[in-house]
Amino acid sequence: MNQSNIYEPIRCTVDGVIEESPAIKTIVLIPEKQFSFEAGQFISMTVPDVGEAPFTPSSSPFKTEKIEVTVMKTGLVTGAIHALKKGDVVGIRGPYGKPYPLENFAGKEVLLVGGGVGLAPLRSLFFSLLHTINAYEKITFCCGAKTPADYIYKNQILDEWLRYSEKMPVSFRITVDKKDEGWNFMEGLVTTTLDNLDIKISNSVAVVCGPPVMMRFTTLKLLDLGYSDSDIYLSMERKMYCAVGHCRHCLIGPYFVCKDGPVFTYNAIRNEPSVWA
Amino acid sequence: MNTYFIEKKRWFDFLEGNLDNYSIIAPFSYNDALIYEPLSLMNLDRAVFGIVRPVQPLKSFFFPFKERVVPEILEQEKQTVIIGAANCDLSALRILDSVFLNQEYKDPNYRARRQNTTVVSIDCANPLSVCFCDAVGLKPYPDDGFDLNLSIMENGFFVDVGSKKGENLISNKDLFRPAKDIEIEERNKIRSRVRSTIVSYNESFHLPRNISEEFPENFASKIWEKIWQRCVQCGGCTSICPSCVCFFLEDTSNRERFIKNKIYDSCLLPGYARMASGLSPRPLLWERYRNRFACKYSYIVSNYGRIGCTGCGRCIAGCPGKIDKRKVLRNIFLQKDEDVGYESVKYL
Repeated sequence: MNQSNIYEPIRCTVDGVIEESPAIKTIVLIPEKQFSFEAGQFISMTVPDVGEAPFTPSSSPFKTEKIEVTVMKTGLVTGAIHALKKGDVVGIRGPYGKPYPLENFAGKEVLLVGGGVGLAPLRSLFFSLLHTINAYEKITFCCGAKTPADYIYKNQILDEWLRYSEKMPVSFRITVDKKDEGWNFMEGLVTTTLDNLDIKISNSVAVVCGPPVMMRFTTLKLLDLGYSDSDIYLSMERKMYCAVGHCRHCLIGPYFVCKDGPVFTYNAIRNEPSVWA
Repeated sequence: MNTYFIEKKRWFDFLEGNLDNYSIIAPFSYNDALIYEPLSLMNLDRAVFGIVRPVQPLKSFFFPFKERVVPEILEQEKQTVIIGAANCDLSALRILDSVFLNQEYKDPNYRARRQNTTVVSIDCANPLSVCFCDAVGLKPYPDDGFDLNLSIMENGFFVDVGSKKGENLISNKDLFRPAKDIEIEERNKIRSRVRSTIVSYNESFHLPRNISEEFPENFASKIWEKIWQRCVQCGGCTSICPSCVCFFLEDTSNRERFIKNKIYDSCLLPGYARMASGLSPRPLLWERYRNRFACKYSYIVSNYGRIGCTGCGRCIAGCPGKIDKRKVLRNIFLQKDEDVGYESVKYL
């Protein structure tokens, strides 16, 4: 971070808006200055005169000229992000937080479990894993959404990623809570994709991202399956302002989500109050 | 450390002589309370030195209630001298330094103000009934952390020099003379007398010798669910706390430039940690109330290696629910759910 003012955002032009689902859009940004990140790190995005909120980029860390951010419309800032059009100006600061510890995944069977908009950081991680695919034993990617219409990155997953399994140790389990006609994959909560996994649990790490209730039940299921607390990696979400460890809004117990996270092992936070808020 | 003596009359001459070079802030007495005000020729003789800590926390000069952070405030203000903080507030300033300065990310305004300000602390001479610095391991006088420290004696002041900035402020030594050992002994007697007073104010609370070490064990206690009732979640205690640092960022940017303001926030307010989805890690008041204590006596200790409470007692004196924090702590440590309120305290 070579800026002298830690709160000064970098101006970005909106290059495009992709409608992923009725509630989720991916915004493509072109930063005015060189900007790079590692998978799992987040940015703080300013919509002028509205506010600022943290998001983990969903694009590949190896593509730096354009950064993609996938956002679900939930509140004030995300509402304003959904109203953005090509050519609009926003600000970003960062990257903040610790990236996914890929070094801890080496030689392991990596299980990714994502639900809804929680697939966003996992997409970025997936690109990173593909980049060094030989370092891992294999990758199992479990994806969930409420309905087929709610699936983000659907075309990319179904048209491109599924084919990767032909030439790489990559497999997918794709489910929706409730299917419709024409859905050829699983039906059931994302936790059902964890039944009958073809994974040697003792040599595996699980990476989970999704809404709190999904993370909670996925973690409980993973523990049932025999994953140890320290092999379950959770993307935690909290109210955040400064993103640099000053304002204390994002604390889980004594841990800053912005600085010590946003990815924590379950082992690190399991005894803190209100983990699953 | 060098210690000098200056006669009372000469101290006021010294201040007058520096009014042109520095913006000087000093305590003034209003209704028995000390309030910081800018010093001028008009009010110089009414400044009060050496009773107790002022009502305003020292932090308000370095981390004000609301300030613009983008773009940062660049105007070089006149060098400032703040006189009157007690050791409780100096201690709090170290926490603020840990948060805003001694990190990978440094707060631009805070850094500028710290560099630009000389802090002159004063030995606490007349502690309030709400004071409990001794219970959090502090003394009513500082050993370090100041630029200059004053000890008030009958005819004048001892001046301890704690930094280069302090040395610079009294570079003209005509008005000062080195303190004698026998005089220092007299000061030490006064200091231990004040300390005993604070100890005597707090004996009835039976607080453990090391609150922060004992605290985590009591964190999961069911007592928390019973002892918050007096809290009206006004956020007053966090605003006047010398070591509370929570703030939020307000965005008033326009198409041409980014503008952000930094404004105090309070972990007791329901919206503090509530996310856009409506979910909050602490939806209930007792959870937020517990969090304030956990932050002070446990999380800040984990984060910065020092206890987050300085025993200044402002949160007790200023509480509209009349909560005596020491009674809350007593209940926690003794696992009781007795009333934590008080009838009246001497405010000052």
